[in-house]
Order: sequence, then C-alpha cells, then structure tokens
Amino acid sequence: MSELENLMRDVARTVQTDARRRQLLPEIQARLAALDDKRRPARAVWGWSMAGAMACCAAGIAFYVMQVQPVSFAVDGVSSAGTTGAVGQKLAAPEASALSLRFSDGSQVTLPPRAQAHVDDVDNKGATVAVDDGTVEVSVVHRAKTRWQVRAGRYQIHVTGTRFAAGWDAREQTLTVTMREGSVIVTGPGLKQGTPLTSGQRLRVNAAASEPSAAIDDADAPELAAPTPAAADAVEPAAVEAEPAVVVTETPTPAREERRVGSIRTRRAAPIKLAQLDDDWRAFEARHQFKEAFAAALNAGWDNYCARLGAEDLIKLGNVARYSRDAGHAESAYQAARRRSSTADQPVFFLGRVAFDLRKDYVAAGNWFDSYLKRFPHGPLAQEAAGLLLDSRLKAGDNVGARDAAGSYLRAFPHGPLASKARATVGQ
Amino acid sequence: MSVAMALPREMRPGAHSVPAGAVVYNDDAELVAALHRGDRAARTVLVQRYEPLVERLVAGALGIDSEISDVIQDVFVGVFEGIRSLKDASALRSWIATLAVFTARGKIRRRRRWRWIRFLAPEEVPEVPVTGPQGETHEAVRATYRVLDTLPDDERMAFSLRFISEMQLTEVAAACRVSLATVKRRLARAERRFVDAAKDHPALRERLQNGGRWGVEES
Repeated sequence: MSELENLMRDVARTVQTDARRRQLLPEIQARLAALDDKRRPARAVWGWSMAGAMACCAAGIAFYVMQVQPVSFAVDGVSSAGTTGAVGQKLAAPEASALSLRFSDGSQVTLPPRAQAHVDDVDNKGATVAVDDGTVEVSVVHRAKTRWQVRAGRYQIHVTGTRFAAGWDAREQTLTVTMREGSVIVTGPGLKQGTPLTSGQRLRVNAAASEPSAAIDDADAPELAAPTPAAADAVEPAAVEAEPAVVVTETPTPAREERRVGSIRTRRAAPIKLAQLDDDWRAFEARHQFKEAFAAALNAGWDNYCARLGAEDLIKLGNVARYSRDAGHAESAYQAARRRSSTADQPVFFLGRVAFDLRKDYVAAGNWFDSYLKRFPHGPLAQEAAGLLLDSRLKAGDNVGARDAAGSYLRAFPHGPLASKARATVGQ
Repeated sequence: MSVAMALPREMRPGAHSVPAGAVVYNDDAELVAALHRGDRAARTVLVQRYEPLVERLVAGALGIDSEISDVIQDVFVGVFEGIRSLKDASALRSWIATLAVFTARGKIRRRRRWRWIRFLAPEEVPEVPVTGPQGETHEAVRATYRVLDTLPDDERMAFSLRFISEMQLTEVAAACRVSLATVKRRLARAERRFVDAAKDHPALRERLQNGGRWGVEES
C-alpha cells in the first residue's frame, strides 16, 4: 500500500470518527421531522395561487436570512397532547405521569411526576427553562449557535448540546446536576467563575446556608444528601474563609485522580459505563472497545438491530461480534447485511472469516471465499480471499481444490504474499 | 409564529433502539414500497439505515466541517422529495449515494463562489471553529482538504469518493453518473494534482516522501 493510500486511510478514519463522535443521527432525525411538520400546512394551501406560494417563499427566505424566529415548544401530557406552550406558563407534572416539553430545535425537557418548571425565555438560538421544583431531564440538540440555559434558583446551567438532569429542591434549596452526555457550565453562588461538568459527573450544591457548598462526584455514585457547610468544615476546614465551603464525596475506586476547579476539588469522572451511553454500541465500536460494544448491542436487542440497521452498520455489528469471538451473532449480522445489500462484498468475506477463524470449518470457509471471488473478482478483499481460499482448501485436506485455488491465486496475484506457497501447492 | 412540534416517538432525539414489535422492512423493496405509501415509520428506518452511508460520503467530501449535519439533512430531504421517482427499489442505495455526492458537490461549489465573491484565497477564508482531533493527524487532515480545495470539483469528488470514502471504481462512476473511463481519467488527473500540491504542505510532504506509486520525490 502506498504512502498516500495510508494517508487517505488516516484522513478517512479521522473525518468519519469526527462525524460519528458528533452523533448526527438524532439531530438529523429531529430536524427532518420538524421540517415535515412545517411543510404539511404549506402543502394544503399549495393550490391556492402561485402568488401566494411566492409570498410564502419570500417570507421563508426572509425568515432564514433574518433568523429571528424563536424556537417554540409543545407540551405533551396526559390531558394536553401536543398543545403549544407559552413562555412564563407554570407547568406542573401530575402526581402519576410525566410532562414533556418538545422544542422546535429538537431539544426536549421532561418533567417527571410532581416536578414543576416554566419556560423563562425563548429566542432563535434556544431557550431558558426554569426548574421550580423537582428534577427535570434535559436533552439539548447541538447546533452551531445553540444558546440554552436551565435556571434553578440562583443557579444557571449553560448548555450547548448535551443530556443531563437538573434538580432543584425548593424547600431545601439544593441543586443537583447529573450529566449523561456532553458538558455544561454551572454558575451561581458558591461556584466561582463557573463550574464545568462533563459526562458522568454529578454536581450537588446546598444553597440554603449563608455560604453555599458544592460537591462533584460520579453520576453513578449512590445518592447522598447535598453537602452541608458542617460537612465541608470536617473535610477541608481551610477552605471556609473567603471562599464558599467545599466538600468532596467519593466512592472508593482505584487510582483516583483529583484536580481543582476554581475553589472546588473534584475527581475525574470514572470511565464511561454502559448505562451512561444508553446501550449505544457505536460509541464503543468507534473507540475499538469491541467487547463492550458487543455487550451493549446484546443488551439493546441484537435482533432488532439486525432487522433495522443498514448494511454498513450491520457489517460493523458483525465485526464487533467476531472480535468478541461469538460466531453465531457475527453470522446473523453479516447475513442481515447480505440481505440488505446484495452488492456489498464484505459480508461474504467476513462470513468466510467466521467459518475459518471461529468455527474452524474449513470447507464452509472455502465455499465463502470462493463465492466472494466469483461475485467480486476485483473486490478490495479479493487478494485476501484468494489467499484464504488456498489456506481453507489445504486445511480441509482438499488437495485438488487447493491446487485449483493456488493456480487461480498465481494468475491473479503473481507477486502476492502467498505466491511462494501457491507455487509449492501447484508443484505438489 | 409558533410551531407546535409533533415528533413521532421513534424520531425523537436519542431514539436509537427499537421497541419490540416495531415495523420491520426486510429489504429495500419493502422499504421503498412503504415510502411510496407515505409510511412515516419507513422514513425513520430509511434515515437509520442510510445515514452511515450518507455520513461517510459527505464527511469524506467535506472533511471536518460544522455544516455536515446540514448537508446530510439536505440529502435526506432530497431523498424524501424524490422517492416517488425511484422505480427500481434495488437502486435505492446507489440513488442515495448519487444524491449525497451531488449535494456535497453543490455545497463545495457554493463555497467556492462565495470565496470568489469575497476575493479571498482559500487559505484566507476563516475556518469554522469545530472541535476535532489535534496534532499531526489533524494537520494532515487539514492540509489534505486544503489541497482538495484547489482541485476542480469533479476531480475532487472522484478523489474523495475513491480514496477517502473508499468506494470501488464502479460505485464512484455510478454515484457521479459518469462512465468508468471518465472516472479513471478524473482520478488520474486528481492524483497528479494532489501530489503536486502536497509538496507545498509540510504535513503531507513528510507523509508522502517515502515514495511508492504516489510518493512525493524530494526536490
């Protein structure tokens, strides 16, 4: 392989990893759905007149150019499915069911039973949601100029694109922010210069005291009461003079690493765990953590994935199973990929690899590689398939088949890495 | 004016996993038939199924770019608007690939026109701030797309599809709607231009000076 081909492989891996890291699929789905909803009424009036349509186009262009339209939101509840929400309107989830606020930029805020909140402000870049009481789940879709805030008491959570839970106990005056994905910055009393939080961390602030206290720990650590100034004194008495009191709560884990964020001592978030990624095997696969990816895909429903994913994802899913040495699941994913795309060459090749490497069924492996070479004689894996066909025939004890495979190999790849082996086989 | 959203549950952000009993389309023929009927669930499945392909092609053409999601969205809007004109369901994949290629090429052309209007050389255009990889690889990626910016659009697309999106020659030809011979000619020209221009970029020159078919000879 030439240096430029190597370089292009690196470029491909980098740009595709970047795109995948940004998790575009949910955003694109939400935007397509929003677009569809906006277009429906336009279709209904299409036949009225050309002039009307032109006016709509002009208005649309003006809208996009000026970008002044604020995001809007709908409220989904038991008795209010899809009603348009209003800024300032107090929203309280009922005793036994949740309330969802769905914003036109694809973001969503969910109020669990008994939680209270209201939308403080909206503009063309996002919204400000105020949590009055309880813990709300927030999922913000990232855009180039997203400006989202969640307010809880005197605290502000500045959001770009992320998922987290924000809790405000009005009676106890405590704030809890639990990060699921992405990062936020929290500002307010006791949080000097803003406190950044990243995936897997949880911030708890007790704002009731004259000197508010804050603590950051792992999001999956057991729930504890918000720290009190007294507890802070016990842990770090020197910190309680000019600065707000600070306390660190930790669960015992090996190799802890501490750092300081403003006046708050924090602990680096533990490695991301399965539950925090919503069983998204892709995230693990992108990091080459194949066993974790395999476990996540099994957990989320392997058969569903095989029924729904496209050929490229199915091949990745099959690879994840193959690297985890699970032949059955690998085969099911590759077979699904074959059904999805008859022109995809990789599933055929990898089915041969499963038979060869995992099942040690060299007859079946040979048949797969033979099938690959017949269907994709100039495919990108043809040389490897020809070599593995030769190996499969030899291991299966099929001397006649091995000589045929060796002859074919030498004709197609006279200078290939197995050329000498092929010559030896032909000469037998 | 406020717009009340009515997102179907399966299209809400983060809805990756599929509940048991969800609609399943075993092959593209079933999927296309459902799309022709206006089945909204089929649209969700199509986006889930083909987003990786579109993402690979668009990301390969544009590189690390803050507008990738916009371009991918445009591709799917084009797919949904034109799906009724697709008669052969087995051509769905290549048809989507063609739409992705033409949409990405349109984006590149528009940017080129804007540069011309502003009288700016490509290297003077302020970069859109995006978080991405750092270090040598990042430098090589940036340099690669700077060089690609200097190539004619058709050659650039052929080059990125073949070598970055790793399509086969026949797939590149189909996606670009040209003959195999035309693709080969474009690729040959693009390779020559790329190697020539790469000499001016240290991050690429170092990678390529080991020789080989496309190696840059040290001057």
